[in-house]
Amino acid sequence: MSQPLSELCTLLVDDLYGELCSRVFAILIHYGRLSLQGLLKYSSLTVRHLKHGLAVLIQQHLILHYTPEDDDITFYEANWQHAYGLVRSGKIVQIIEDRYGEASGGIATNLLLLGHVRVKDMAEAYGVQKKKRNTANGHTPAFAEEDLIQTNAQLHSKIRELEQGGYIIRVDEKHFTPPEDLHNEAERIVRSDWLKEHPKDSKKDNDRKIKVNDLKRKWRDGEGRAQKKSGKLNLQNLESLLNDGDAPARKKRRVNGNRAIAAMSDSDDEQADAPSLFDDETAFRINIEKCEVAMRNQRLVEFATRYIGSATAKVYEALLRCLEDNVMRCRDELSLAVSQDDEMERAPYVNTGAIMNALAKEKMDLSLGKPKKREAERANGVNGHHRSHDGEGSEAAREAEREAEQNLTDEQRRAQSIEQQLELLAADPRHFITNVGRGKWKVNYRSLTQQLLSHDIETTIKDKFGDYAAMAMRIMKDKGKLDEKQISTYALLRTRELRSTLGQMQGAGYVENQEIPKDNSRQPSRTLYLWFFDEDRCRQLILTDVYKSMSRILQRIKSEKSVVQPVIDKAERSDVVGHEDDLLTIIEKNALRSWMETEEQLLAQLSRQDDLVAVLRDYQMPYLRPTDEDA
Amino acid sequence: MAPKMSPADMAKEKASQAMGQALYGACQEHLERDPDYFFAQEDFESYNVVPRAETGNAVQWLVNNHLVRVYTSQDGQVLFKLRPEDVAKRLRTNPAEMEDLVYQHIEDSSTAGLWTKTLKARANMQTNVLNKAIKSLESKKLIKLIVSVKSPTKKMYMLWHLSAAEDVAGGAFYDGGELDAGLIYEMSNMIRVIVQARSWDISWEHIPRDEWAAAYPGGTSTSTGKFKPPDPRPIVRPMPPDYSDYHTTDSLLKEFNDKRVLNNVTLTKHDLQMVLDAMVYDGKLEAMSDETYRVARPALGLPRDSQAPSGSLWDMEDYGSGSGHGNAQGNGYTRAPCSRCPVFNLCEEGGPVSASNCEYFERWLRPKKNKMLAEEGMLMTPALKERVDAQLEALRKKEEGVA
Repeated sequence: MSQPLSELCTLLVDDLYGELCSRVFAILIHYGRLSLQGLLKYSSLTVRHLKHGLAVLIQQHLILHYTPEDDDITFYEANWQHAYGLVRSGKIVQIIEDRYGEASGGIATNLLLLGHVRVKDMAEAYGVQKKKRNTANGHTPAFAEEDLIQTNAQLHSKIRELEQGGYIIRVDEKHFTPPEDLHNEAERIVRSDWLKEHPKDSKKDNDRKIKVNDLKRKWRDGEGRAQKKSGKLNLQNLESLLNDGDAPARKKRRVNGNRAIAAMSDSDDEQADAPSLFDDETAFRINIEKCEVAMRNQRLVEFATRYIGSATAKVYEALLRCLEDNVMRCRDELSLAVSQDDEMERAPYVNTGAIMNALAKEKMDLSLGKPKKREAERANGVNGHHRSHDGEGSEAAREAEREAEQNLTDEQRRAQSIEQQLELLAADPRHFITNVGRGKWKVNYRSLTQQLLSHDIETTIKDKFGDYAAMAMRIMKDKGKLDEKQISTYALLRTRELRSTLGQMQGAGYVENQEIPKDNSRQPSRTLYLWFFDEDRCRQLILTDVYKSMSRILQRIKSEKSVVQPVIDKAERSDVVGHEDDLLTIIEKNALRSWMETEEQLLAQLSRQDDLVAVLRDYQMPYLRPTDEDA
Repeated sequence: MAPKMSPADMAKEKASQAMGQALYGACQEHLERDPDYFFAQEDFESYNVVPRAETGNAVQWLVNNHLVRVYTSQDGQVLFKLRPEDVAKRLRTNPAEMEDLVYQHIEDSSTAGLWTKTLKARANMQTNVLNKAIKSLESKKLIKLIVSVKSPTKKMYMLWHLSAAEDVAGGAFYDGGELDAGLIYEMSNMIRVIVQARSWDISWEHIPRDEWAAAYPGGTSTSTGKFKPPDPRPIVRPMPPDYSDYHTTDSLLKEFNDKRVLNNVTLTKHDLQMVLDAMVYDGKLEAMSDETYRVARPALGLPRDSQAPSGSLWDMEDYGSGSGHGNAQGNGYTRAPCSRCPVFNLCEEGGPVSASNCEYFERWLRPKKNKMLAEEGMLMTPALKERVDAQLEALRKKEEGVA
């Protein structure tokens, strides 16, 4: 784990949970796995403080722990993924609010703030919060009347909705165990079973690996919980779903894509009969992995906006939203797919009809460009003659087409343009979607995230080293190792213009140079210098730099804040709150305003850097064989 | 030529000359069809300009006057090649044998040019003799120095009247062995304009008054000429998926060569393809399918969308976003000070450089304040910052006193 990342995680923990927690966290992230004794040794904290810190951190899922069966020493380990995830809190709340309304966003905020929460406690908190809201609490946003959580049943239905969407998951004991220990445990269980069944056959390593992965998958997805794969439910899953009693809601939701209405109408009635659907002791937490899926979709929509346009991107967004229910995570380490073809085969699909339904309420111009008018213009123009023969025939055809178009209803015209937009997405050089026949569409996330990665690396290089650098990088990526002369030939640039750029990039480690001596003398003049670009290395370099840059932003926020701290303290004093206008001077108000602007600017930058991290790190799918070979 | 000739010889010579010239003319006609043609004895006879019996004499006269050169092919056949008349004239005044030899070697290399080192090895001469011969030939405008694209430092010679082969000269985009960057720049701009016309459906929408009026809180009276309504904004629509009118390499080639877009240059498909490929690498074009192109949307070169974030986060001139013409948006990292920081590697809390004492953050966060200071020749150093802060503090106290 890189030093900038650990620094960043520690800063994030410090920012949200205070110094005690961040000190404990820093030790664990610095020294790795430690027992309580080890922690005591490296920290100058008392046992009482240490235990308090650990408790908070465990509650927040920032620390994982494991006690081996035959031992009573518990080991602690920092969970950097969750620590890093703190930076995404705002985005996660936003995502959930967009999809499920403000009340659900509120639940998400609470879950993020508290790590994991039992249903019982949540119900209690909401009872309390309601009272609080009546006493003028300026910060609480005014919820729409029907969106308020007023009864227990409503709370449960909101939680159920979120759980079905995959945005929150039930907390399981396994969630507190480090992944390596889980793996070892799975391996041990599988091995002992294996030896019982095949006492002599110890060879089939591969089969065992599959079994280990099966077991891990079962743990991850929760025992007995239905797992949707490839958009279809297998029989067993269907059964368990029916037993759960929410299958109709689920199915309906997927079919018409209009989540809120369908899910509510069905499950609400049921819940009225059975008010307590969840065991009060069930605890929930936010599922970061699912939120990453939503973030990825957002990013893909931006990508489509940039390269095609906002109307098409809107259609794309609807399509991705329809698929979202069936995509649980961006990168599935335990995927069942054996090759990229297989992966595509298993990927969920969506029907054109569902997309149209999802877009039914959108009022926007979905029309595409009109080539006809322009072509006609050209035919009348100066050099329209050479294409006149085929022009006439197609002119008649176009006329007919136009007439047919005029006979269409608005509805049909709209459907037609949506279909066209979908085809456009598929025909784009980036292949945003793939048609798998009969109005079914799939998204090749692997290739798209790869393109996002290349795009972001390219922008970074372009901004850091100029346009030539980005061009040289693309050429090297396309052609492999090249002499500077060859690069300049492909780029149609002068070699000496390119040379300094390449030198700078090499200095920063973004490209590499390989020497190939032509003879034994190894003289520079008798040596070939080949440049090459290693995308993965570049990705890691940028990632580390971004982590560091993020830390600097957090540190800067702190130091900016310390300057205005006295004013902030004053503004937060209980006698000042509510009477700011009377009790703060103009200078103080200005200082506060400029501090808020500064903080906002820095936080916005932080969040944009996190978008970059997501592309560089989180969306990358694990390696799979590129094509399906029959072994 | 012989100093003294008998009248009979003179007459004979005259006859040979007439016949030789006739033959030369005939051969030149042939060369117009096939410039690299090697003539055989039968060819001369087939032209029927010279009596068959006299062909030998005529050819002999041509050889004597350097108008043809004799080659022997691998199977022993004697072949002839024509030289231009003015070259022959210059050669006739060229008495030195060495120069003849050098000339012939260079002539052999034809349009590829001959490297002096190779020439030396082939001619087997001393360096100073060779150099003298070369110099003399050069001064008589029989040979010239050329620059090869492949190895610009090598001294290469070629016959004066020839123009270098494509692989030596580098094709249409090379000028004296140097890449003609200006030409390529202009050409790629032209290509972009031409391709763009068939790539997207771009229309312009006037921004309604009440939308932009809000931006001018002081009033929006256009009669005073104070406020100009903003330029119309572009609406870009993609072409439908079955659209087939995107430019192809062939259609572009036609466009360029038919309309004579480039003076005196006839593009080959290969040349054009090179430019197109480079533009794809540059992200300006994107290949829709084989040899079909459209302008990539970010490279459309349209004025910024009014809703697009302005560059205000990065207004500092000395940070000027090197390539920001609206198409390079950058990302969260490259738009933050750290990505351009020259001392990023040294930066850590407690070190000599850290986030809290960072100059670049200061300028980035408060560009206006710092720009003002910079214009007055005062950049924000820590000492200066202290002074400014002290002044602000004094101001604050004063104000408090008033309040």
